[in-house]
Amino acid sequence: MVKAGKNPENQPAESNPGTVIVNSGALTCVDLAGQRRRVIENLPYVLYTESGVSASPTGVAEMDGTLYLLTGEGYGDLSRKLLRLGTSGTPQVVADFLKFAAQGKPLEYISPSSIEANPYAIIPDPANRRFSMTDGASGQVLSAGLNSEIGVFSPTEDHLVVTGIARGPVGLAYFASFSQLPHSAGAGAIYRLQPESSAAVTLGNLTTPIALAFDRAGRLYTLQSTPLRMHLKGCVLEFIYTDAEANPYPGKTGRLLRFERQSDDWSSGQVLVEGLTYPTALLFGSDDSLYVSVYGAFSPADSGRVIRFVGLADRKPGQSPF
Amino acid sequence: MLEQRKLSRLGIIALLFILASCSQARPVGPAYQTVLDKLDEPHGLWL
Repeated sequence: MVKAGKNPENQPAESNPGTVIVNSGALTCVDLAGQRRRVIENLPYVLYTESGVSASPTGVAEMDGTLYLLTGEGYGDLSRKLLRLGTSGTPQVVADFLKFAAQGKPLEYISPSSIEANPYAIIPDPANRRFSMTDGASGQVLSAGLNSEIGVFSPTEDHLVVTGIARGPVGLAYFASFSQLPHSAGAGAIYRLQPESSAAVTLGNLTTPIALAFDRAGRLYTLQSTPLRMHLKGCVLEFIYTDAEANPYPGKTGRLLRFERQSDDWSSGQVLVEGLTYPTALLFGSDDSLYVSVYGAFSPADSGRVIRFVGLADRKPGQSPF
Repeated sequence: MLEQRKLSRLGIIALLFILASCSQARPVGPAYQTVLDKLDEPHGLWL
């Protein structure tokens, strides 16, 4: 479980105007007995204080028994990288998304904040000795090989904010998209990645889908995060502050949805769980239990949780949300 | 005395009816448990 690491008071923070930069990201492992341990820590984390948006280690996956970690936007040496976590305890850089996005320009002369690279979610592709990952900044699905080669697996529309990615029926990969900015209600979608590297919408009319998963029957589950309160004023994106905490992202509105499979489409859906607070990740266990991370953004330190649901796959269509 | 007993029985029946109604109205959902807490903005998961 990747932990962003919001707790800057524990470490000296380097602050630029509007940002807090601190190495407090971590990967935490919990075993079946409930014992937890830190696999790695001191990973880069950045908090943009005005919006409350943060970036940090974002995804974890395994190949050949080795853990790989994806890091998102940030300002440390390990930001925007695919890292291999070997037994030495020191992460090895497998792929450098910052350098890839800079397209050969010398990094010492470019502000990292001007480079569009923010890897978010990752799945392994062991047959091709590579990983596939979404890049929320460039709006593309990338591939990164164990040989460090990065490629654009699927270009999408400009600045589509892409989020979760998962392997679905027939081994195809699917990814979620918030839409282009601003993310209005119903503008989100799930895309299917075709083997020839194109992408097609397979489920639309969603609102900020942030993660997805499939059960054994091929039914699609997606976490809808929360509608963002922002709008475009001219060419400037502005947050709409409406509540007492001046938070443009309303909490406790996250929902878990399930869609029945009909051939290659998922059209009829239902709300399984509602009232989730800033859900960020979704994963099926081998026993069909479903794991959801909540308080994954805009939340106080130590408030994050991973919840395990049992029996959700047995919910009948038409049953009221939990 | 007889009237009081009748009223008591009616009261008990009414109480049972209310309890049964509440039980039916309570949403029945899947079991869930927290497997990890005290985290800071958790994101990716892997099993």
